[in-house]
Amino acid sequence: MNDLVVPADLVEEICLRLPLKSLLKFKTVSKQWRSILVSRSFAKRRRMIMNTVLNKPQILAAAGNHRTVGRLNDDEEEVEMFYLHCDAAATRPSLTCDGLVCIPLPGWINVLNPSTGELLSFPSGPDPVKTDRYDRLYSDDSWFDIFPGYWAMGFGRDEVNGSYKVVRMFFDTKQSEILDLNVGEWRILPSPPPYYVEARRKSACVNGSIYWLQYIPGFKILALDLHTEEFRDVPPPPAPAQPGQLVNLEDRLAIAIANAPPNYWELKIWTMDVEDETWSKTYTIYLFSRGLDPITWRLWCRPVAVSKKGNLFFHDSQNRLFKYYPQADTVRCISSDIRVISPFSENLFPLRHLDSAPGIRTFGFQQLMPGSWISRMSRRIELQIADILFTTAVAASVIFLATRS
Amino acid sequence: MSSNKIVLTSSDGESFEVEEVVARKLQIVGHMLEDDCVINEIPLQNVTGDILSMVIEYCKTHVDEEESEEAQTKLKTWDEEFMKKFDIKTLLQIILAANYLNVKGLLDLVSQTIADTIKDYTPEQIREVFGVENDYTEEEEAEVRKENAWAFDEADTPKP
Repeated sequence: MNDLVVPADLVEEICLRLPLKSLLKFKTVSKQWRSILVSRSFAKRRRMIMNTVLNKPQILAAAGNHRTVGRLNDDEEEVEMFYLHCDAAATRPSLTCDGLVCIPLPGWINVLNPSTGELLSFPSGPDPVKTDRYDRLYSDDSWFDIFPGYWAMGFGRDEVNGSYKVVRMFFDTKQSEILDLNVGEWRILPSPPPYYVEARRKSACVNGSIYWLQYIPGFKILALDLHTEEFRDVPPPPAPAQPGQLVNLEDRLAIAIANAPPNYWELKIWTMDVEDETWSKTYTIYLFSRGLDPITWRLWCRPVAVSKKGNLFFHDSQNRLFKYYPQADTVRCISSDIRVISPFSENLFPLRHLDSAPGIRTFGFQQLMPGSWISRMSRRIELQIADILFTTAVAASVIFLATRS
Repeated sequence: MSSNKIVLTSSDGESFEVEEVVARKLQIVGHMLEDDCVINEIPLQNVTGDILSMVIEYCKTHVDEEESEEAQTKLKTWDEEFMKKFDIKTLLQIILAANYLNVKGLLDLVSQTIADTIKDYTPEQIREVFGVENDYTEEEEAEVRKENAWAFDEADTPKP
């Protein structure tokens, strides 16, 4: 039966159901197999299948190069954890979208696809003038997310043409720039941001727009449409102006505001309807008594995922991961030492369409720049995603990024 | 439901008499019956008798798919046992047949079974089983392999 020929559409049908590791391995079978596996239509169908097959939300967390990873104190195992073993990801703020991680390091913007091991690095060029004003403001690291050069940063996907873009703004010098991964060079945005936003907080990307928060002097949300590259003002939730965290929660824009009335910490989460930009309060969560936790005089929380049963996972500025049960209105701390990055999802889309654009493209995290920050997040990626994407029994798996070169 | 009988004939001349409801699970047959309802013998040129008999066995079992959870679980168990009987070469013939005869449920089932079977194959084994010629030059193959190097690291385990 050696004359048996399996047509391309059936090869695709079979490969859609393979674990990730096998997919990457089978790119070397032949040029035709590779072209099937790297096509955008394949990535798209794969994503749809994954969404129906997966019965747990996935969360990406960072572990330093030599950190061990503990199990979650969560008996029901309603989430699947992935760990990025990479010092830079564990110590630096990052931005995420569609399972990709953007880690700005001094001098370099890095965009990493943990699913395929693809890494793109772009020089960030000169940073704006430094002033000690920011050094003083930025002293408390766990409270603020400070990007190199004190830029206000954003990362997301242009929904119209599918390309990923990095945005940065510096208000003292009125600089606002965008980097399309397919172009590879910084470009000035057509119109400047209409007002100042908080640079020390992460932005969120939802449905093709990046959202930033301002709460002093007014409570405002600034959005940038990544396709038209125009800014617009989005109404904030009907809440008092407070420092909150903007996140993408289940493909909706959400803001999480933790505050402390006299005796206890309380978390309120609002979500926005994208169509008519109206907000609704989704959760009000009693966290813990203030007296029990004297070190926490400032706290932020970021919701990260909702399980099939409707339980909410969120993490805080003290590296804790919590699970909230709306039915019973109770909160449990399921890890007290974890650096959650974001929700995670497998992503097979190539980071850019053209290989000719500037920027350095590598796979498996080879050394990029000797002696620089980035060379330390180098070498090899060990993904066990492959073995568990279709099984549900495993609670934790590891993306092993870096053995020091 | 009509208990009309239909005769399906394979490429190597083997004939199977099945009930119309079973034959209609093969969408290719369903379409023919809609076009002309007096057919009672259908030649199927792209499938051999031994493979066709297996497809028919699948269709007979799935002829009335009940909604109840119990029935679904029972069918699922049957599917698993059914697929265990076949080696990879036979599975590939079944997927070709399921595609040609247009049996959606079987196509999904056999695609998943093949994926589970081949996931740990080497690229060389894939080429052999799927009859694919390696059209990479040595340099090209090394390059693609390098890009996906970690996927080949079988023994690698994460460090504690």
